[in-house]
Amino acid sequence: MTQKSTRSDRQAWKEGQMALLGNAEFVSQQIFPLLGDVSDDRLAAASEFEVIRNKLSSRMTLRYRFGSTFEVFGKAYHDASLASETHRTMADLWEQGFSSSSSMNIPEPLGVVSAANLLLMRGAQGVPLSDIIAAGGIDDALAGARLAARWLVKFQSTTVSGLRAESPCEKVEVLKLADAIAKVVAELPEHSALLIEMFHGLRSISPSGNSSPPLVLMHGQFRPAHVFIHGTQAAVIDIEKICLSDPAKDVARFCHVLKKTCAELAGEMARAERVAREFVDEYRRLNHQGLENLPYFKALLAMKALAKMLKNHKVEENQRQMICLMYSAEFEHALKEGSPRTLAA
Amino acid sequence: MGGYEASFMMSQSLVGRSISPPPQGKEALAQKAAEFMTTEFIESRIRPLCGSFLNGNSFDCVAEIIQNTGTGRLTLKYSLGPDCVLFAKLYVDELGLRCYDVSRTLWSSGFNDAGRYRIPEPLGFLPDHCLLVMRGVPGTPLGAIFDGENSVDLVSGSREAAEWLAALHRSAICSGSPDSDWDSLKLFRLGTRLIKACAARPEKLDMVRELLDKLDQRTSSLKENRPFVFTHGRYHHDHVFLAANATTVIDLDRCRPSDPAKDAAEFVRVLRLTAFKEGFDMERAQRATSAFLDTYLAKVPEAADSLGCYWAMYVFHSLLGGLKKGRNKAKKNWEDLEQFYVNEITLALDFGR
Repeated sequence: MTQKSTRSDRQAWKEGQMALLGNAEFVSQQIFPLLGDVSDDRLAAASEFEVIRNKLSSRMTLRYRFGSTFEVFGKAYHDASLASETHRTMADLWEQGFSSSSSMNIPEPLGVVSAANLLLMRGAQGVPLSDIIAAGGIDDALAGARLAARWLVKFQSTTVSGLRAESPCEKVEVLKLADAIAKVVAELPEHSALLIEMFHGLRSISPSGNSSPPLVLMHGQFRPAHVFIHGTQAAVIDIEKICLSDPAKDVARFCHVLKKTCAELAGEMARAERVAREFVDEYRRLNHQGLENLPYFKALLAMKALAKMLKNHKVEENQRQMICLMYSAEFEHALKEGSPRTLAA
Repeated sequence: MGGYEASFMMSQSLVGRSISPPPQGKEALAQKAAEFMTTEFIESRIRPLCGSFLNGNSFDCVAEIIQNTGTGRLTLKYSLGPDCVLFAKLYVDELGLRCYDVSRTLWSSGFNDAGRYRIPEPLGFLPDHCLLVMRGVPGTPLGAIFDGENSVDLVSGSREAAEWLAALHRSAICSGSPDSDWDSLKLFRLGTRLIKACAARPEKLDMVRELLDKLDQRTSSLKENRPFVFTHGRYHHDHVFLAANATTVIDLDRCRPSDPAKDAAEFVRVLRLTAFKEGFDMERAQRATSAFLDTYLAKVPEAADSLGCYWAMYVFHSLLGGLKKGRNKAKKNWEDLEQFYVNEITLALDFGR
């Protein structure tokens, strides 16, 4: 889809923000007051400012470090209303059982600096689940997947007021997919037949109606890298695209990103499969309903990723082929899973 | 393994799956229909369905196939005399029985020969042949005006079409599963058309994506729980028959609960596009559009919210369909048609705003 603000708009905004957010006066006047009961001594220690994520989007993630141990994170948004909206949602979740006293939690929201569209929060404790899956023991990875599933089930059963609900058409993302695929076939028309066939397949397992199942909270970026594991605790970050949608979407995204990351890092796919299965099994054990559209969303993500990979010239050819085949297999598997005969069984 | 090879392997794997039953060919249907035109079949299966309305007419029946376009449907006409005509529709799927059930429901709910707004009288369904038999309808199709028929007035005829549609949408009938928005807006079909269009005309990518973006924003505003009504599903001027005392609508195969705007948008899209392609007086087509929309929306005002969205999306389908072929149609060359489609999408997206 066309971008609402141009790349140069965003670049100019980011340059301005970086100069402002790292300014010592700004830190002492705008950041310190939001840090609550942190002692002056700790704040007096030299502060460090670092941008830790700065992709070509309309937001930046940054870290303020005070002394050697105390740090807080900030998210600066190009969109004027997003910082306060995200803060409100996080505060609501924090109040409703996702505080640090719970084993399933989110980073503590500290406040908003309106003048800079900046949301401030504490960090999440623990290690990203993606790191555990990639390099930890399999038992730790499976345990982490179960914790992630529990966090998601708890999250989806929570009510946050004032959230936008995805419309039926937004939910199924067909037009977004069509847009991505239009770019591919304009450049590589030889893949048209394959992609048309996939569209037919996707339609055959599409959700049955506008209102099924009931909408729940959707994280929107629920992926292993956003789940931090600390013993038996799970904290989930990147709470900013929350809206109401189909419960299967976050489940499907988690599994998709898990396998995608594994394929991109040339990891062991059988291990990724096992962790994904553990995640879904644990989810289903805690919540028997709501995943009837899981095959559809798995197939959708696989198809979108395949289309992007087909025209990706940055990846080495053998790996590109391998990843394409993996997405194709994922798509096939989801179709089988979602076919009426399989569902009836 | 090269890119093409991988793509081929994936294609082979996917193509092997039977996603929907293959449509029966025209020849196979015509062969099947030959049996239904024999004297023996007509005497044993059709005549008993006629009941009392033969009124002593002899049963000298002439049977002919009048439509077999490869859509998996075939229509037969049985002429029993100048005022006594039956039609039979042969199906290859479950839609025949469904259409029969819907027809009986509508007929008994007032869309019959006692009222002004009607459907064809359903006479019977032969399940062993998937053959739906119904009585002929009086009048001239509204679309005949585009073939030079002067007995029909496009503006008053469109008003009548709006009255019929409002009567259907205001009825309490509720049969069948509700349409999803992605089905009523034909989003998956749009995806395949988009692929064909962009593969055939890559230079049009930016134009197509810009329109797609606008349509995406508009469809995103469609609320989940808006009111649905019982819709026709293929509502356009060729299906509306006008007579002095009756307006009758045929082709009830796709009736189901859905957004009311779906039928109104389809009517307006087809009417205006046909008028443009045929070089018809567009000012008159505009008056017909206004007559239809004013009459219809006065009775079904809730359809106004989504009408522009459905209208624009259906025109976009037409644009993509034309783009991939890039062919002249009727009296218009493709460049004029493309501009017409883009203007219509803009007009539709502005509707109700």
